[in-house]
Amino acid sequence: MVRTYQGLVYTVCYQLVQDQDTAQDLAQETFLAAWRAAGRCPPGCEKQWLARIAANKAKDHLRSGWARKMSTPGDEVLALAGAPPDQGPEAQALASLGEEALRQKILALREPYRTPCRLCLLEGYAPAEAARLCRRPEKTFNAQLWRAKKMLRAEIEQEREQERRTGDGTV
Amino acid sequence: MELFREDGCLTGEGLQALIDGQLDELGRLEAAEHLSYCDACMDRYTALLGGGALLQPPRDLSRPLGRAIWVHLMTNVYGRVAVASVAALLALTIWRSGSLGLILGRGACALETYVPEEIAPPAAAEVPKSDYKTPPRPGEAPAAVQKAHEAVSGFLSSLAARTGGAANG
Repeated sequence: MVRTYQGLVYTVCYQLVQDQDTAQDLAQETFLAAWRAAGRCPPGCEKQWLARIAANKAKDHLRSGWARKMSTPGDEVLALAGAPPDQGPEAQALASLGEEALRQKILALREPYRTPCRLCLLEGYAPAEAARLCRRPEKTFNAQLWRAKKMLRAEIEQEREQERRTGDGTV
Repeated sequence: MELFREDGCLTGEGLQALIDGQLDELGRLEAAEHLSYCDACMDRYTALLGGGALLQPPRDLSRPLGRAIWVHLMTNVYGRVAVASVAALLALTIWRSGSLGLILGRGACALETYVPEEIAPPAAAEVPKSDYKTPPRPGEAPAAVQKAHEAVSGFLSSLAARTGGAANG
């Protein structure tokens, strides 16, 4: 099995992480995970099953790297002035917007972020229920919602900064 | 370029960009997340990969994988067998050396201290006679020692009687 599919598994890993050594390690982890769960492979679908495990390994690797990059210390200091206290910086940034402005921003998001934000922030679904509705794993859904909030916050902060500069310029 | 369609699945050009290595880190993360649960997109992706030349890993995977499986087996299956063997050997050693009886005997002696003294033993007439012989208790001295004890006690008491008689005389 390893000799037959190592090219496929390595290719999936390499195309997702774009690094030879990491792809080699992830391909090895993929086969090890496949060996542990060999009984769960649907007969005749070995190719898709191995590619799925490889995509999962690459996803975990990329997600940890992304989380490290995005979690900057002192985020709480950057909360917007005038926003409700006792909330995270993203929630504060969103709460500082008007309802219509927030709706427009969410609907302008691209997929895969628009649906999680629409369901949870506009229609008031709990994340677990919203994940079930759009047929995404709950962990993936939560990660997408978290990134979407970060994106919205960055956009709002950028707009505020532009407004402030424009205001300074006119005065 | 749009990576995702309105229905949330990957676009054809998105998949092609992934294969051509044109996606940034966030795009690759989004694609990996989607491929990890969407069967339809995974089928399309593997079909596209099957058509082109697959990359080969710089080092053959079978040998390091064999080592990894061996280590896994050693730490899980053989490790447990080794621990069970050591435990069995230890138990056998304790049993054969007689330490087990010593430990149990001490435990029984310790229990005796908790018997209250106020409880009067039943009268001899009330106790039904039986052929059952009480086995020696763990703390009890063997018969030979008891006999020796009785002989020494008799000798001492006779010696005391003589000494008392001489003193009186």
